[in-house]
This record gives sequence, C-alpha cells and structure tokens, in this order.
Amino acid sequence: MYWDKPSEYVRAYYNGMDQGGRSMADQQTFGSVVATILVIVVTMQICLDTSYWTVFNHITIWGSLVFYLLLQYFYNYVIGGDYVGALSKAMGEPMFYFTSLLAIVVLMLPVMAWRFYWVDVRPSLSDKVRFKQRHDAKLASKRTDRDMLRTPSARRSRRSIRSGYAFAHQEGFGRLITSGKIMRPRNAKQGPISNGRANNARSDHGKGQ
Amino acid sequence: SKFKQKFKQQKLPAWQPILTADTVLPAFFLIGLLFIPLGAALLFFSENVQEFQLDYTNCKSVDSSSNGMKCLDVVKDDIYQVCTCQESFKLDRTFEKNVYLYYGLDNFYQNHRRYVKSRDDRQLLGKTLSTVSSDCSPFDKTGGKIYAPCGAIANSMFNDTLKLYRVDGDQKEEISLIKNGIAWPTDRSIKFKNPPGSLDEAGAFNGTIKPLYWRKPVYELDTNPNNTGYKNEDLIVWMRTSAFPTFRKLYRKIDHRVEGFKTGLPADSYMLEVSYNYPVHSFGGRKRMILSTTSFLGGKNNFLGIAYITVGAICLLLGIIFLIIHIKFGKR
Repeated sequence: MYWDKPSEYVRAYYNGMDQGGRSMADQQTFGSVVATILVIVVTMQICLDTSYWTVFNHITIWGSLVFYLLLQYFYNYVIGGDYVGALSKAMGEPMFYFTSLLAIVVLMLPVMAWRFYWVDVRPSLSDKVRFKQRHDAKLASKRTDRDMLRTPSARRSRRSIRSGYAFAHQEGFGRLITSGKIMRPRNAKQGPISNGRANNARSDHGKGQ
Repeated sequence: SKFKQKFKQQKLPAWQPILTADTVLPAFFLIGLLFIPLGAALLFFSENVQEFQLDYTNCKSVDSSSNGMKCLDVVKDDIYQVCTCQESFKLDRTFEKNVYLYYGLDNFYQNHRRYVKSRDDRQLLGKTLSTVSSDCSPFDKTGGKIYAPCGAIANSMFNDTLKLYRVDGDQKEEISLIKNGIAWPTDRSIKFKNPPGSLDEAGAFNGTIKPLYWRKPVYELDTNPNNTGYKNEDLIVWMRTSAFPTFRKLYRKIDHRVEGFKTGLPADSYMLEVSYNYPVHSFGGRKRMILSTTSFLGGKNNFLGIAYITVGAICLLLGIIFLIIHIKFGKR
C-alpha cells in the first residue's frame, strides 16, 4: 500500500523562503516538491518490498530516481517547460532535504512497524524459511573457518590438499572431505570416465551441500 | 563469462534483507535519538528568525481631501483615487541583517485554476505576437489592442507602494530600500524578456495597451531600463503565483549599506507610509506589511522542528513497545 500525506508539505512550505528572502511558497515550487518527494517515498517503499537485491535491482531502482531528476532538468531547461527553475531552486535549499527525510520516515514507519510485528510474532512460512536460510549460511561460514584450524594432526602429514582423499581415514579430515572444498572444478576437465571415484564422491558431496 | 553464467542460473550475488529484531529495533531507537535533537535544533533556528507583521487594511488616510476616512473606503468609491495612509509601529528588538520587507495578502486565491492559467508565457518571453493565448481571456485584448501583459494574473498585480521611515520625535528619516534581486534569478534570465525595440509604445510595445486595472503601462513600471517592461522584478514576483490563499511576496530589501542600518534594523520607532491603491474589500481580503530576517531554513517556520521532535518521540515509543513485544511474544 503506497500512500502520501500532502498536508505536512503544506505546513512545512507555508511562508517558505529561500536564504535570499525570496518567497518559495509558490505553486510551482510546492507542486514540484510534492511530486518529487512522492517519487522518492514510493521508491523507498519499493525498496522495502524488494527482498532479493541483485545488481539489476540496484540499477533499476536507483536509476529510476536519477532518471526522474534528469528528465525534470531536461524537460524544463532544454525543451523549455513551464516549471523551469522550480525544482532546482527547491533542491538547492536545505528545507527540501529536511522535509523529504521527514516524509520518508513518517510514511515508512507504520509500514515497517506493521511488517516487523507480523514477522516477529507470527512469522509466515516463507519468513521462517528465510530466517533458517540466513541462520544456516551464518553457521556454515563459521563452521568452515573453525574446521581449518581444528586439524592439528593433519598439519604433520599435509603436503598438498589435492591428495586429501588419501588421508581421509586420518582424524580431522572428515569435515574437510565432506565439505567438498578440495574437489576442484579442475577434475571436471578430465571427464567422467578417467577419475570415476573422485567424481562419484564429488557428486555425492555436491548433493549433501 | 562467469557473470553471464550466474545470471542465467539465477545465482547472481544478492543482498537479501529481512526484518529481524536486531536490525529493526536499533533502527527505531537510532531514528528516535537522532530526530529529537535535530528537531530541537531546527526549532532553535526558527525561533531565532525575527518577524514583525502589521495589518494596514484599515489604515486611515492622511490626505486633506479624505477627511480621515479609511483608505479602504476611499478606494471603494473610486478605484483610481490616490490615498495615502500612515501607520506607526515600534520594533522592540534589533533585527539583525539581512532584513527583508514583504507585503502579505489574505484570502487572495492565486491558486485558483482559471487564474493560474490566465497568462501568456510566450508574450512574457518577448515574442512579438499578433494574438495572445485564449487563456488570457477576458483580459486578452480590447479595441483591437492586446493587453501587455495579458491575463488575470498580470491584471491583478499588487500596486500599493510601501515606504518606511525611522521616527525620532518630529523628525522622520526615509529608510533606503533595494528593489533588485527580489525575483528568482531563473525567472529573470529565462522566463521574462522584453520584446525587441525601444521600450515604449512606438517600439517594443506597439499595438498594446496597459492592463485594465493598471494605472501605468508596463514600460513605465520603472525608470531603470533594466527593471521595466516584462523584466520589472515586482511584476516577475507577482507572476509567480502563490500556492496558498494567505501569502507574502518579497517587496524590498533593507539597504544595509546606509549608516545606522549597517548591522540591521535597530530597535526604534518607525512609520509605514502606504500609497493605498490595491482594493481588497470585494473579496474580504487583508493587506499586511511584514519585516523578517531569514535562517538557513528560510523564514520563521516552527513546523519542521516540532514535527521532527514528535516523530522522534513516536519512534522511540514504538521502539520500546516493540522491544517488549519481541521479548514476550517473539517467535525467534
């Protein structure tokens, strides 16, 4: 649900002035500011809804904000639109940034609070899955770090990681083998026939991951 | 390439934010703790702006011909009648520079839709036209001549003249005022240009006539050729229609280069002298003179400071409430 509250902009810009005393409470400024803050707030709410941020999400979401500003500039200064100067003047004053920060927080707060409440007190199935995913990822990264250190007996006989399979019976190598870290993609070039055993093991470990 | 492979397999590295208690709760507290002092600072800046308002709608005429009538009534009878009135006032604190002089109007809807449309921006750009935009109607032409400038906005231009005097017993000293730099620089350089030719009826403004309610034609708005015609800054300021029915527009700036006003407007007795031309009785409007300083936020506006404090407090409260809920009922 995306919503907006123009009444607060009214109070903020009432008798608005720039630092040279010139009035900023005119229609074009007010309209440009409300429209721009609306775009920003809706973008923020889209951010809240986006739960999987790849590089493309970043490009399109921030890019659309930048594009809006570029388009404003282009339409007014290059083509000669009616509102020339209104938005650039507004954005040159600190009042604009304070007002938009306030607007963003006021409009995002209820949404965030509402969602947080539901995720915390009554998480849905997808929420629980995401929690578990994150939890597991944290544990997995912690586990492999610790394992690399917890093989003092292996240090004596370790010559090269490549032949770790040969030492699989030795204490401490179990975790290393089962994590699949020593199975390099290098093995794939040899083909499925030549190194049958290693590849079998690899596919097993791949699934166990 | 590796990136392409990851893209096709939907395995691009991604950030997956989720709302956990250990991110949201600190965020609430952080915002609350940031906003409250910020609001207090904004309120402090706003309170430091000094402002003085004087409503002169009902001021009494000092002309011998008017016999102490209110200028409002003088103008009501005859819109072209000259009426001068004076109002005394005192500033109890020194207003630090820079001090600005505004006129304020109440109950004047410059944001009415048909009013806002009633202008021709091409004419104001100085293009020679044979006809003006139909938006200007009924203030577009009369008797074969085009109104310059056309439209209801220009026609209703504020035409009171305000003068300030510093009073010392019987002596009064006129305060020097600056009339340049009151309009937006972008308006002056981009939106308003005079038509080519000499700035008079024979040249640039051939075939035009002064707007219906004006006393002088547009090329006589000022003796300075850089500030007359469509480039007159008072006209430009007026043409920037206000968003609200109660508004103020910058009229003049106090000249702080003059001895005695170098640091500001000192606390003293003053007098406002008005050439009362502008009729506001028909729509129940009021007229004010405003003296104000500015802060980095602009004029006096307590709203932003109060709003920040309120939002900060609510945020803190929400943070505490959710903390309690999380501890008692949270599922993880």
